[in-house]
Amino acid sequence: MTRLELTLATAPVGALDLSPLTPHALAGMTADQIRRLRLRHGTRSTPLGDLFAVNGTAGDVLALRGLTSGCLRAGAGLESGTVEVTGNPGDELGRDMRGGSIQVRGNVGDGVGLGMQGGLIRVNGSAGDRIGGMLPGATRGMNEGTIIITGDAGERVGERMRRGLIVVCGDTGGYTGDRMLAGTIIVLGACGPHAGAGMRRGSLLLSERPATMPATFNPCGAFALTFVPLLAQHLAGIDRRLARRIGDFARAERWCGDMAYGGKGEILLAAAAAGAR
Amino acid sequence: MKINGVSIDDTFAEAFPMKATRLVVTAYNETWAEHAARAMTGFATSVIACGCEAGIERPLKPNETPDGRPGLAVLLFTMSNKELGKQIQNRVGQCVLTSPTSACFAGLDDGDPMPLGKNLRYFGDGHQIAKKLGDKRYWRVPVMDGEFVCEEMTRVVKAIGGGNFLILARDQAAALAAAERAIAAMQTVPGVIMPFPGGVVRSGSKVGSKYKTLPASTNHLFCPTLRGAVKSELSDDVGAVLEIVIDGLDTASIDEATRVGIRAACRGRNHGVLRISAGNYGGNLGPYHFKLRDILK
Repeated sequence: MTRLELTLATAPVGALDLSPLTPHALAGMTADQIRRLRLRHGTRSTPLGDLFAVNGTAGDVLALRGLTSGCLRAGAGLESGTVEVTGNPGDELGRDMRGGSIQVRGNVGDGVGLGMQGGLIRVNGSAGDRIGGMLPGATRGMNEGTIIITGDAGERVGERMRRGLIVVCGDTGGYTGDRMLAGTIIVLGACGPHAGAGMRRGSLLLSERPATMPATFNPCGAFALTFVPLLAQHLAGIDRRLARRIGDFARAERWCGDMAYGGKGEILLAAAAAGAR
Repeated sequence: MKINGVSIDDTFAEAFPMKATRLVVTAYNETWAEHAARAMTGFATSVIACGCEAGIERPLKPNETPDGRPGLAVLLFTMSNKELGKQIQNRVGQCVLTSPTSACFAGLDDGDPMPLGKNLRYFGDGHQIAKKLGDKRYWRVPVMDGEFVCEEMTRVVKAIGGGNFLILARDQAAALAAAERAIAAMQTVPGVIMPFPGGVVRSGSKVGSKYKTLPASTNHLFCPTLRGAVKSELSDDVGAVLEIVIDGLDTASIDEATRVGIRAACRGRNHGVLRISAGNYGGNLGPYHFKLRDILK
């Protein structure tokens, strides 16, 4: 497996757009050609070689090292291969991604997986607002794929999400699953206020009971739903340890809602959370 | 050719192309998975009048099923895609959907797509929920004990039906004991089912009848009670004949099932088995010929 490493040598002044850097876009290019690639940097464009040290050969794996919050759209439009990110990249990581995987070690800005249409994003750290949300001007959020955040996430996780799976191992901010159309969001930490507001369909699995359950969700009782082990088996193919934590939902309290929007969505509270009234 | 003193006829089983799918039926425990699978594969011995041939392929451990619960792999065979679609709808809808705690999944990854839960979801009357996990789509249909989870599509592959062999024995008890040994051994072979009751058929048939409306009738040449009346295939010492019919996903599976089945039937002392033969139609109807002596070499 060939691997190309781009190490940020000079911190960008203003926003640096990394969307041209994906394994398939760089495939077949020599190190010199890659150094001459021009990246949008603030209001100008700058040769990649002025900002990054280039090592290795372009192929299946692209490593972006030492990214800072000014580095936007890392792995955007990824179709195949792997993008490994270290550092604390900025907004819109994995924007409009179609396939492949992005692995991040560090904290990420807002808009992880905006408009995502496939693939896997795993952030070993925390992320900002609007994970799996909508691209500017779009009416739907992520349409496919999986996003795993091992730390905390900001507000509006899965905003207008249409399909796919988001797992946040830590806490989330307010409006988790805001106006969600379908798909699945799992929060293994605490969830902020107004979870599932405006939710049409989809599933919101919460390990901890929110301080107040939304008024437009109705309780249905506690059940051992067949869907839960199926979800756990699916997750086991991605992360076995994470899959075991889904066992908390083996028996879950089901709330249907948002009743103001048809009531076909659901919040599943893990048995332990459901008991902690 | 002889195995443990049993004569193996120099003949072949004649088999036909069919369409097949594998479904995985799971439930809260093995007992309820089996209830669902047995109901679903009931009245499915022959396509002549049952619409399909179906049976339980093997039990599955929780780590082999999509939802991590105990289950069974079931195979269904028909003569056409259209009929298979109908049988899946009816059998899963009436026997698996209705069975407590059950769920139903596709058991093949390759082949032509065929609706499984795609239409059954409407039982949810608008309350059904779709879930796409990876590249598979599932339906969650609310039912009175919780929810029925069903994969949207299954896969249909080309398969083979009608592999067979005949156990010619001294008497009924010997034939039955040999058939039971054979079935027990054949149930360990993946990719095959023996669709008749207990895997064994006593009413072997031939094509056609003296009665115009009957497409099949008794295989009179192998009926011991007619030995004096027709040009029988049976010697005087044969008191009973039992047939084992095999449907399989490919020729290799049927070969293997035939091999282990015949060897098991001929096993032991004083087994009472005199001959092993096979049913065919002269080789002109079915494109698949399973030659007993080649398989047992």
